[in-house]
Amino acid sequence: MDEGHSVIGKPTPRVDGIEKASGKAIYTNDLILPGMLHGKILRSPYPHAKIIRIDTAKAEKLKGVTAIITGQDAPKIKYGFTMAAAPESADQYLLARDKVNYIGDDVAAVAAIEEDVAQEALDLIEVDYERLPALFNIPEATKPDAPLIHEEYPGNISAKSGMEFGNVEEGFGESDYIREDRFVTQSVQHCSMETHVSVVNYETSGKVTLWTSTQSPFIIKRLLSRVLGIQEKDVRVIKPCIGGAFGGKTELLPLDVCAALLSKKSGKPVKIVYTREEEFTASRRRHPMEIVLKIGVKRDGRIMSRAAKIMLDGGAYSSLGQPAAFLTTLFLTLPYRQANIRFESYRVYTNNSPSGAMRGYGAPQVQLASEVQMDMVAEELGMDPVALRIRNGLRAGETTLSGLKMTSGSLEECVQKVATDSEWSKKYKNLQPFKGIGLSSVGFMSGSSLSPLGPFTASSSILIKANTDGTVIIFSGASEIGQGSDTVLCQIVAEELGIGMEDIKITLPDTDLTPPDTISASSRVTFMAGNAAKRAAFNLKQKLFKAVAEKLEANVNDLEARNKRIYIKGSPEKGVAFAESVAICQMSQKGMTIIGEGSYNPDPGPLDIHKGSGNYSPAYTFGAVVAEVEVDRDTGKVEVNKLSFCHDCGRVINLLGVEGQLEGAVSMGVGYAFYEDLIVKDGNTLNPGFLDYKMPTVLEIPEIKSVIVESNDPGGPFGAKESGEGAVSPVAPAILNAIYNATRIRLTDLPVTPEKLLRELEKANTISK
Amino acid sequence: MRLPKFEHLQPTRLDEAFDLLERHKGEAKLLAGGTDIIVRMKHRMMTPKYLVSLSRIPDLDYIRSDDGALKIGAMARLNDIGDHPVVNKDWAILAQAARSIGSVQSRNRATMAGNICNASPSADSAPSLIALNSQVVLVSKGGERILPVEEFFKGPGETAIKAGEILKEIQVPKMNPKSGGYYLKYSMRGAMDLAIVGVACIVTPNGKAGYCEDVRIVLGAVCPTPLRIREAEEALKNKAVDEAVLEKAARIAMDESCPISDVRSSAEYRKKMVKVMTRRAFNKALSLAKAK
Repeated sequence: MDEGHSVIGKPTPRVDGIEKASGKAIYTNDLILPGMLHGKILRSPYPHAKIIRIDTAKAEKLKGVTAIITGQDAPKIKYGFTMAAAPESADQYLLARDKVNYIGDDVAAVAAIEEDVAQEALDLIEVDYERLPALFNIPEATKPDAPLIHEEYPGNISAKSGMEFGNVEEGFGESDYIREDRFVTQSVQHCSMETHVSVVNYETSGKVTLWTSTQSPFIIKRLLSRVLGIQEKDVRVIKPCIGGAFGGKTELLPLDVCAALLSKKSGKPVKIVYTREEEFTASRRRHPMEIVLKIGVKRDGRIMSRAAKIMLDGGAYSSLGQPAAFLTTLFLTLPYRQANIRFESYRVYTNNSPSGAMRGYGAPQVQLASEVQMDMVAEELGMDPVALRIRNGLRAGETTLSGLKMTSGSLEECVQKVATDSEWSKKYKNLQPFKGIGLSSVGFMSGSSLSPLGPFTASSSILIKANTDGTVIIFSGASEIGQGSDTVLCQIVAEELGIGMEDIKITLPDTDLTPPDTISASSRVTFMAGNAAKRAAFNLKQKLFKAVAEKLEANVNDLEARNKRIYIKGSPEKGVAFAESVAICQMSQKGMTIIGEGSYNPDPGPLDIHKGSGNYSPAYTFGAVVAEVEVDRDTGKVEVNKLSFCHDCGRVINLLGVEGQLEGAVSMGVGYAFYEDLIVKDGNTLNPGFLDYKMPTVLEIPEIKSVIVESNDPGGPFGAKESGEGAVSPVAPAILNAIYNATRIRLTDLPVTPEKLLRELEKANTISK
Repeated sequence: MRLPKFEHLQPTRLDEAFDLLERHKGEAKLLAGGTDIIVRMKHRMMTPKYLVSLSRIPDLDYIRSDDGALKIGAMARLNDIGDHPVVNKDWAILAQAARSIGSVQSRNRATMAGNICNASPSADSAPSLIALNSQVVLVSKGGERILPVEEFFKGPGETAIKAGEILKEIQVPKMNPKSGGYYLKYSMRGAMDLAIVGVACIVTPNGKAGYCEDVRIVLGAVCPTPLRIREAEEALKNKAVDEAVLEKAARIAMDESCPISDVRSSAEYRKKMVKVMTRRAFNKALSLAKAK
């Protein structure tokens, strides 16, 4: 679907590609400021304990130690990601005050001239604890007599969410076939190549500058100013290059707060870098969940009723738990038409490390349940899984029961394409023993009306400054976190202005200098910042057109910008170079800088988050995956031979980027299905390193066949939608369904270790004998 | 995690290294490739005050096969062994074992001598070295002694090496040209992983269809030390090996193994895999022998 575009839809190398690939890009950890100190955080060795006494005297005497802070030195204020929108969700002191709530909880922090010295000082801090009974799983934490981890939260319920539309009981009554299943998902970590890093300079004047590895600089600014009790103007957040985020760099985290407090106390800039162990034990992880899902269908496959109860292990703090609870219910409304639904979700506090946001944010867990159960239903009904998905799949023009408005694409097209591509009908039920094929679908959001800063604050805005040499600079607050969004924004601007990628530079997000952008999350950058960029470029173009039209004595509406020229449509010779147009415009405005402004703010209509009603995203995407596996019957090991992937990302802006996202999603999905598992026993993480927390290597990644279904979304920039997050969810369930197809073993919990599958194979073998 | 403080000593002659080991007795460790010890130090699993590096001592980095036997110097890197054309031709099982360890990057530094001195029960080069009847040359101020690799391992992290001794060379006798050998490493991932079970198997057919005059089976990762399973070898020697015979031998190997449960695997699963992998390693080694 070219439609005469010069840049959009073309495979475009990343604007930051060469710098990153050659090792020259400057990441947060590369920053060194004059006089900079190194900070380290003392962590709790106990899952739940009262702090009786902290004595820092010995540590203070250590040569090279400049500042030490404990909970008593920090402002007595609690914070949390959603504290601006929901103050009650703030449940974490800047440093633990009276008690610690998990192994890894932040107790004290030291700044010293060297990291080694800071580390040594931690060992000299004496802390007396009095252990409290600890809760390590959902059943323990939800017992009526369970001790409370946070006094303000009865029943240890950190957040709950629910939606009910139609009449679920009636729906089950009308169903020909009903089943209920339980699914369990494990805890995994983002494993960004770069661990969290924060460098903070707290000036004597009271101004604070943070260079921090974040995907949400504007949220960090807001929250940090609150916890430090200073004005927002005095907090400046700059986001350098960051080495991956995947949702794990969304929040204001203890390292930002501690670096700020240590910098204030010492009068020097302070850098804190998390170790990989800290990433695994004291940052954030994907929510482990227990999901009970009940479905009722007609004989022809129509979903009459679905009910779910979802329990999330939230760990010790609220983190991004409130949205997580809500999103698990929201993602169960996609991608199928359902006549009646009732979904409830409870996020439970435990003394495990806190769960937060991670790519897909609630979707991989519930869509695993949904997609494996759909496979079970298809079999019971004697229906082809492809047909069952198509029977229920949403399509453009439909509105779900809860109010999500499908604007483009259809599940059917994705399922149909992936089935054809993988030769589904030839292979399904016709494969050799221990070979199998499985299907899974997905629906996801493309952008979001939700913002942690409160209702109606979800927005993106862009400024473009035109230079008289024919180049432009994009001022964007949207965070490039490795997903390729800077390239997409440059492409959009290049297309709209008719200039080349080489004519464009994009700034780093800097809360003092770039216009605000809520966050790089909820798959929003291409859609929301992309729309803002397109509008800003259009706004700039109109200013240039006006000046050029005057010079050419032409009508503004007759002008076109292309090939680095602005000219009268149909007569490229009648016009001026883009560079000249900027000069003309600038002269005509007494030397004024020529700026294009644009913003995007989704117009969701009425939302009621307590009922779950309303349209939370400006667009939705569909996708489908077919996995082909081979099971080793002697070892239980599964080889994924091929994954066919079909994703509807609206209009493709950068094919290389979309393919990269799909391939990355497969890698993450394969890891989720088989390898990745944070093994936690009594609050202790047993595999906090890459030796025993296994991510797939390239050898474990199957052949990937990605097919991109292009729809044209009416609200998307050039018709584009998301491709980053939706793709993660369907990989694991497609694999599980393929394993069933190969072995008749139905697994409902992750990860699928060879040991687990072998046990089931042996059990089945005993029974059949 | 950062490295604890230590002093890095770089002798340029072996006797200088002996002196340093003696002077810092109990406080010094030898450093070859460093891929094990540096990681262990970072995790404070060991905190030697001195690391005595072998890297500046000339003539320790060699792979020679002049007189028929293979001689691997203390500083020969795993990738150099794994990529060596002669090793690949005449001691293919050892090249294969070398290539199965860690990542390309770590193999560029790590040495085979270090791999066995570290004495991890899952050391990938150990089962093949034992199956090949290899020996190590241990040198000290007092002279040198030669020890079969099979007798070198005393427990996890423990070897027969005495204070003041340096493992100078690994010697691998010539392989019977009729033999086929295979090291089967069973791990979760295809690379950069530790063995759940490792089986080295060398098979020498004797010309009579299905008969083997010699079989050697050595297990790794399933006992405190690598373990040669002679009873299973005997069960396969000089008789027609069919499925039942092989199954019996594999079961012997399974029964002899004494794995532990850890985050990687349960002992029960490891035991089952010993059986499966012993069978597979034998078949693979036999097919390699037949292909000669």
